[in-house]
Amino acid sequence: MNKIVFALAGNQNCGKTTLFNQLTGSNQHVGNFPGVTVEQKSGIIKGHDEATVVDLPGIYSLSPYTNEEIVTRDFLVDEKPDGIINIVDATNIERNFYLTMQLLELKIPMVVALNMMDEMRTNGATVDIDKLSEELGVTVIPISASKNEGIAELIQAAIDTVKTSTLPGKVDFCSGAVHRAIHAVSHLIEDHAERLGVPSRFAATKLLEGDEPMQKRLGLSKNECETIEHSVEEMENDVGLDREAALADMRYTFIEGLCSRTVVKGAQSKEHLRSIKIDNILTHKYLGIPIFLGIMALVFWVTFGAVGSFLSDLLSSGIDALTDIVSTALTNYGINPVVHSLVVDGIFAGVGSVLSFMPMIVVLFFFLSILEDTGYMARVAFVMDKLLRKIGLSGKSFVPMLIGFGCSVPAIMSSRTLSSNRDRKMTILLTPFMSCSAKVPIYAMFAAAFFPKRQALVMMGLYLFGILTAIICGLIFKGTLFRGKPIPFVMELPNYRLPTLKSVLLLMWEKAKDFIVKAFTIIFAATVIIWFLRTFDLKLNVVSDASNSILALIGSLIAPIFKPLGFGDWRISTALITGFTAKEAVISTLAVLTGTSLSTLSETLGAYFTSITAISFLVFTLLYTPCVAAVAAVKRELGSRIQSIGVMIFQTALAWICAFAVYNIIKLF
Amino acid sequence: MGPLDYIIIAAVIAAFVAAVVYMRRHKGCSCSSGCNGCCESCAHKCDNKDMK
Repeated sequence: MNKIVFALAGNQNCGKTTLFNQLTGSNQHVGNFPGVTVEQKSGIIKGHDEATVVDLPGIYSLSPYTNEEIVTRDFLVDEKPDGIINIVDATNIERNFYLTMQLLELKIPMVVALNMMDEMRTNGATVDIDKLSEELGVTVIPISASKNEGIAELIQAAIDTVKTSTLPGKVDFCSGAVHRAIHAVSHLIEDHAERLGVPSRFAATKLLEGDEPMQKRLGLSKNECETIEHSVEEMENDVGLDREAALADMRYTFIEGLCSRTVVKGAQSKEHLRSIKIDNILTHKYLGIPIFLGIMALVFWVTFGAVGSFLSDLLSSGIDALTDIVSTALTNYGINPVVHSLVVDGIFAGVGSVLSFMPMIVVLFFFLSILEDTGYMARVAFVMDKLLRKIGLSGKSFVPMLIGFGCSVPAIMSSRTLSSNRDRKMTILLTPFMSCSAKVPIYAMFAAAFFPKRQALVMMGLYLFGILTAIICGLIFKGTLFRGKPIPFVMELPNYRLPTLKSVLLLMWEKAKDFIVKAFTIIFAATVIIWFLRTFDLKLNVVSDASNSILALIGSLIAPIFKPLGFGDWRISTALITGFTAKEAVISTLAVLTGTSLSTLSETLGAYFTSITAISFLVFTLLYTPCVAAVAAVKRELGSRIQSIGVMIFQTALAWICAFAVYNIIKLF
Repeated sequence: MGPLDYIIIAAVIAAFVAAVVYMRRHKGCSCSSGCNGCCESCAHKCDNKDMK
């Protein structure tokens, strides 16, 4: 059976990932936020094992301005998919067709999926599908991806189009001076385009737009380039617009005519009108940021002060009860004390201490998922643009930073959507200062132990401290390492929508599942190693006092480094080192090394920390090197081992300096 | 040391090895993120076809 590969292409936030999930039956994360898809994903179409669909990043054109556009164009030109499924947002049809026009020029079998038809109908709008298909020269299928309407018809039409090798019926939408220029250039470069395997019409329009990568790939001679420039000059003089504007004008003129003949517009959607009203408040010049801070404070209060901590305490009591049952059973059986210690003081204390924080993480992401799905987070990026520009970044950097509150690894990866290398590197350096979810157990444990009445405030303070550090570093970088201006930030603000229960529950489940997997893999392995090193000495004799163990020996070598910060105990320095494998390991290591049960760990910490040293410890944990997975992501994105080591050293040194400053300043009062 | 001692030690060693093997196969996704980017990175790195 011949394999069919479809490319799923469309604008940002037009429902591509929702359609991808419907086509493949997968559960990729969908956000009401432009730019959720960073790189291409592929999946087999349900019920058609021979057909694969590749979800490409959302783009507005095939000009190589942004990394998303480059990824999509490279895939379409180099990989040559058998067919294209072009998803079009019916409620924004004119702007979406701008990409459609360019896709048609690729001369690849294509179908157009007209999405959000339900929303369009609600607004009283109609589309003459048959006429639209006829004028575009490709099959158009009306769908509603979120309601699974029209998906079967779309799949069938797409497969039929490929099997019958039906190419787009039309590619020539222009007239006048632009038409003459395209045809002149098209004939001139025909041989080059054929050699490259690119339709000459597509290559010609790109050359007229001034697309340098295309010019290089075609390998044009100096004479040919000069002839093209001459055509461009003639076209610009005749049309009275510059080259890019002339091409855009040509496309939009056709789209305007097409829509006037095929689309009956309805009233402005209720959703849009409602969004405008809400935006007047939420994106207000002065109130925007205070409202955002207020919402986040409420989220933290509910997560760490009310619901989340209650659920965590409940789970913690359950784990403690289970630990007691296992401990009693093992003792009654007469198990060897070392094996008893391995199970109870090692595995149960270590893994259990981390696992008990799972409800907090799930509750936190329940709220963040709602904020994202409603479309509010897109507004926050908009509100933050002004602030981020002051530190030399554009609002677009907000997306990686926001993801950084979940995990630094995908956050660092998502920085590749930034087209400017300067912005990308700066974002990679600053993103780890956003407190990832792995640090939540550390913050929550210390906040409960030392500031029981101000837990939410402490949590909020730590998050803000990370943001503040990023701002200060950004200001320093702006004037030193990364001089220059950030790229302009243009983002489409989606309408506010009610989040779907499925999407919210899916994210909560993903969070819970990953947390459990992590607890039983990396935390479990780290716990067993820590237990072994603290139970035996160098001659592999069981020690009665942990301070004679192998771990104490290693820990005491590092401990002096942390003494000026107020926590010079070898147990604490060891916990910080294991935190490099995964931040949650700091808590599991402390649980194993202090040899206490989960419910008494908070009280036990009092023997090793005062409230001042606890703050210093939290500041250090907040800022020091991200975990090994994040460092690997930095290395991948920067493409340099030395630079990634540099990032680790920079952040650890900064953490030490900040913790030292905080410790000594608070001591003065 | 009774038979249960040996069983427990063997089980812990087996679980430890399994955890290490799992971590090596999923180098890019030990981050509890559960999001697209991370799973995708994992799928590419460890050639886990289920995740692709």
